[in-house]
Amino acid sequence: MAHEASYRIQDEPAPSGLGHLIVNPVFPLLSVMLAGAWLALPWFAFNSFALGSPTRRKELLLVVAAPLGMMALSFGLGLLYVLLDLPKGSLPYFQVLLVVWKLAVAYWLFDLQKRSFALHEYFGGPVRNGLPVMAAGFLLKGVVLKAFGGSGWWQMVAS
Amino acid sequence: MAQLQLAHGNNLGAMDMLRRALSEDPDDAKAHALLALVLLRQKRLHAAEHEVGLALALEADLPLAHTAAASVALAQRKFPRAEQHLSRLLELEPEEAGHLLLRAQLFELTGKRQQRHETLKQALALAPDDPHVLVALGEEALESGALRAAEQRAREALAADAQFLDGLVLMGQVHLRRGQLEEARDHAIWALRQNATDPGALRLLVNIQARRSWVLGLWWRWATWMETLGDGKGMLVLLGAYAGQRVATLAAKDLQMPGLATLISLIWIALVAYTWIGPSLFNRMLRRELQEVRLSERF
Repeated sequence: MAHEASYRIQDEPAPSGLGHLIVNPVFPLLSVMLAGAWLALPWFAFNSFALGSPTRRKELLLVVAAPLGMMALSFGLGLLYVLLDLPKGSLPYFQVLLVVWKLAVAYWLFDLQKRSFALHEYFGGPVRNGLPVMAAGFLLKGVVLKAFGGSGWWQMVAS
Repeated sequence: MAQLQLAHGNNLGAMDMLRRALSEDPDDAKAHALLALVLLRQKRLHAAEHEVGLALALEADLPLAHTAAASVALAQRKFPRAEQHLSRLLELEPEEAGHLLLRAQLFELTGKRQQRHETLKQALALAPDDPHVLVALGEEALESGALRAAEQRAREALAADAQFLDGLVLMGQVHLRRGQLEEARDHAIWALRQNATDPGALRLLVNIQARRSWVLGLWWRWATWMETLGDGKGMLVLLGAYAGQRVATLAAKDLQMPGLATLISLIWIALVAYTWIGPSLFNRMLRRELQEVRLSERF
């Protein structure tokens, strides 16, 4: 990220000491689908710090908002299910809403981070291959989700 | 020098020079305004807006700063703000045809066709031989389907400046509309020889390829539509499509129609695969076309 001249443009990332661990944000995005939020959200947050993303405050807020939103949505939908005495067959439809929420936050994070990443890459910054971490996350998904307890509720938030 | 680099489409060279200039003098309003224009070309709109703010804070009546401010606001589709800067710009330099072209662009984006036409006529009266004005009039004619008038304007623009890229692209667009794909391609390649990164010429080339192959054409139309929606709305469309597909699959299963559920899932998978592979196919095609482009000596 070294320029001959020192004037820094507002949207240019200022990589931290973790700059050598930066990955393309497409990997955390794919991890949401293949491994789960337990891997993707911390990874987005880490990448944001490593990149020195100018929008990292917003990104961190989203990382925090994602599980909170999942909990609120699950609670709201659960309440609706009980109050309206809906049939058990309606539950998979509710799950679609939860998945859409999770994907929406992940896309939003990806969209914010891809700008900083593009500039980082453009200036020749180092980029790690995120595929091994994503593959490991995919393989460990079952074990990790089991560790979140048997109630199913925490699993849903972490998945 | 930076302005010259910018005029030649060398954004990187211009940016490097502007960085140096601003490192030496951070209060150079003109350099901030020019940097905003470079950032705008790179679609770095937030940074461009920031630079415009710095330029205007340093010199509130600098026409270049208002030009940059209006251009950035137009790109952000902040039309009232764009109008505000354009009004000030025309107060400062009422005889400048370029400012009227920007205002015509604002009218185009806000769907005010008549005002756009009148503004372009005003610009023509001020600068009858300006190729930018002639091309803007040609584009207006092209949009309304007046191909002969569009061709005439393209010819006039090219008579004023034979190497004028936008004139070449306009002529190519006219050929494309007439279904003369080879002629259209020649104009795109000709324009790309002047500037291999000219967005108008690249778009023309892509449009030609999209016309040749319906598979790629479909992807191109989809990609163009998504681009016009912007990142936020585009994301909503994708998520809506996903949710729709999931709900339809579940409903088909509930209605004891497993065949339909499988069909919906298969269509979805095909769509995902197509939009995943589409960009790579398209890039490969574009690279093959661009191999024929030779850079000009000036470049």
